[in-house]
This record gives sequence, structure tokens and C-alpha cells, in this order.
Amino acid sequence: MIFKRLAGLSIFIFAVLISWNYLSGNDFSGKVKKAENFSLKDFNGKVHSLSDYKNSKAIVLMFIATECPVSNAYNSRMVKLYNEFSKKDIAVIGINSNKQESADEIKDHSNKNGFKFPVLKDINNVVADKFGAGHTPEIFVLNSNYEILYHGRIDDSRDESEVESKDLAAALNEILSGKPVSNPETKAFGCTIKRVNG
Amino acid sequence: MKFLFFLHALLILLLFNGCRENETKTIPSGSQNKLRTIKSINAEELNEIINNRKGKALLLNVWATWCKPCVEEFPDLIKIAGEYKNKNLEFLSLNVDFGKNADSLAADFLAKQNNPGFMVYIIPEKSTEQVIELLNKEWDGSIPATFIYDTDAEQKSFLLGLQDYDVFKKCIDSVMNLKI
Repeated sequence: MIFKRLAGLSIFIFAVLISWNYLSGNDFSGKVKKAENFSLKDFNGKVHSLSDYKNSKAIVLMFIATECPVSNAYNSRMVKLYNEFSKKDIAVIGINSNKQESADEIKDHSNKNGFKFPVLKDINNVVADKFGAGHTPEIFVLNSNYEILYHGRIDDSRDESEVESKDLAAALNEILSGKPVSNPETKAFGCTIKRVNG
Repeated sequence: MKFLFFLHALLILLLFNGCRENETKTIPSGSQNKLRTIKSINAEELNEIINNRKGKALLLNVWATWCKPCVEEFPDLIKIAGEYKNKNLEFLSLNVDFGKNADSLAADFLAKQNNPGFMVYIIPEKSTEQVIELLNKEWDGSIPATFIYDTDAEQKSFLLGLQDYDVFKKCIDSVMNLKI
């Protein structure tokens, strides 16, 4: 009897796990393969949905921060990337999921650093959780079907003068050329995203 | 019925896979002494250290002076290192500060901490990805991160984010009781 109940419980939990992973687009390693549409407000209160950018050739989501020195080391490079690739019909969007960084701080930070791309406030780190984003800066590049074509760093050096491999730019150029991204997953050190329950 | 048992076992494996294991690895020369000059270390050299256990477990902490939680947990690590100084546990500290003055940033910070008695290395920028992959393939590079290896150089604990004295101690004792 007890085994039957245990087995029943196991099947139920197993089914829930599988359903959850299927619905959220995760595999069991926790990596996102395909994203879902989401809506967040920018620091001016304007709502942006992923679907607003569906007609772009690619969507670059950058999890960034106002206080993280690593993320800040990339501010000017993010501006350059936006300037270069927005002209080529690639959408560039910043997302701030840090619980302690307010919309006002994000606005000041964006203005100070000349960000022309929207920076969205991810209240309660909902979108960071969906993507499995762990640190800043962390990049996800999606196609119009929200499939993740690239995930990882902007380039291979936090010190701009020592950059040898511009991984994000290379991925975007490959996408624009209709080629598969040759290095779709890269890693770098970064500041842990401060989550509401973290 | 056998199928149901199998399913149950599979479920338990899926739910309780928090402690990740890594390939076997090991240490260099004695590193429980006073802080020397901060040296840089690449993935290959680090791999050699991890694998050269010589009967000691290993706690490896990755940190930077720009990382607030790293700085916050550092005194607890120093305290732990002092307590386990004469036990079979080696401490290794990996700094990931960046820029031209990365080593002086780390050195200044360590001086303020009265130069803790464990080995501190700096990971060069170009070794970043290899080191992350070496330490744990599931790790995304967020810090602080702490890894505890047993005396067989098997990774038994992977702690991501801010920890405190009690968590460090509990994990170390758990790993050391298993193997020492």
C-alpha cells in the first residue's frame, strides 16, 4: 500500500517537473533553449514586450547593473554595440534585475553613460529567473522565434584594451550573414544578480 | 512494480542533485603558510593543484575586491582557515580582480585583512573561461563561489553566492568526515 502511494506521488511530481521544464523551455541542466514573451517597464514606465521586437533580425538582451564594476566596465562597449547593430536592424535591450537598484538609479545610470537602448526594470527578477541569468553583464541573443542563439559574455576581457575575441559582435555578424553562431556559449566572471530571495 | 521503483529512484536523483562533482584533480607546494607575493595561475596549473591532494581536502574560494558579497564573507573564510590550519584542509584563494592594477587591489585588501595565512592567486583574464569550466561546468562565473574537494580531489561542494561561517564549517566538516 505504502509503495503504491509512494509510486503515485513519484509519478505526480515527475509529471509536474517535466511539465514545468517543458513549459518554461528549460532542459534539466537549467539552460534555456527557447524564451517566452515577457513584458517589463523601462525606467520611464513604458512597457516593452519581447514581441515588440519580433521583426528585428535578432534581439540582444543584456542583463546589466548600475553598481557592478564588471558591468560598468562594459558601458561604453554596450553603447558601441548598440550604435553598430541597431542600424542593422538588431534590437538591443538592457535588463536590470538587481533588487536594490531602483528605476530612478537605472535612469540616472543610463543617462550618465549615454545608453540609447531601453533598460527595463525586472522587478522580482522574474525574467532573470526565466532565462537563468546569474550575473552581470550576461547576454542572451534571440531570433524572432525567441530561440537563444548566443549566451554569455560580450568579449573576452573586462579591460577593453586587452580584448582579443569580440564574442557577441562575432555572433551578431554571423546571424546577420545567415550563418549559425560558431561559438554560442561563452563564460565570464561577473557580479551575482541580487535576487529578491537570494 | 520494478518500473515504479526505478521511477522513484530517478525522481530522487533529479530532486537531490545539489552537490555537483567534478573530475578528479589536485595541489602544488605547501600553501598553508603566510601570504607570499600574489601570483597568477592558469587553468592547467590550477588543475595540477587541485589534483595534488597529498591527503588533504581543499577549499577553494573565488573572489574579487569589487564583489561586495565576496568581501563580506572573507572574514569568515579567514576565521575558518585559522581554525582548520592544523587539520587536513588546504585553503586556496583565487582572485579575479581586473585591470592594470588588479594585483595591487587584491594585495591592499589582503593587507587590511592582516594577510590571511593561505595562498592567494590571481586568475589572468585570458584564463577565465578555462578556469570556470575546470571548477564546475555548471558554473556561470558568478562570484563569490566556493568549491570543496575531498582528499581524492573529488568536488563535493559547490557554494554559489554569499555564505557565512556556519555554512562553510558545515560543508567542510561534511566533506572531511567523509574522507578523513
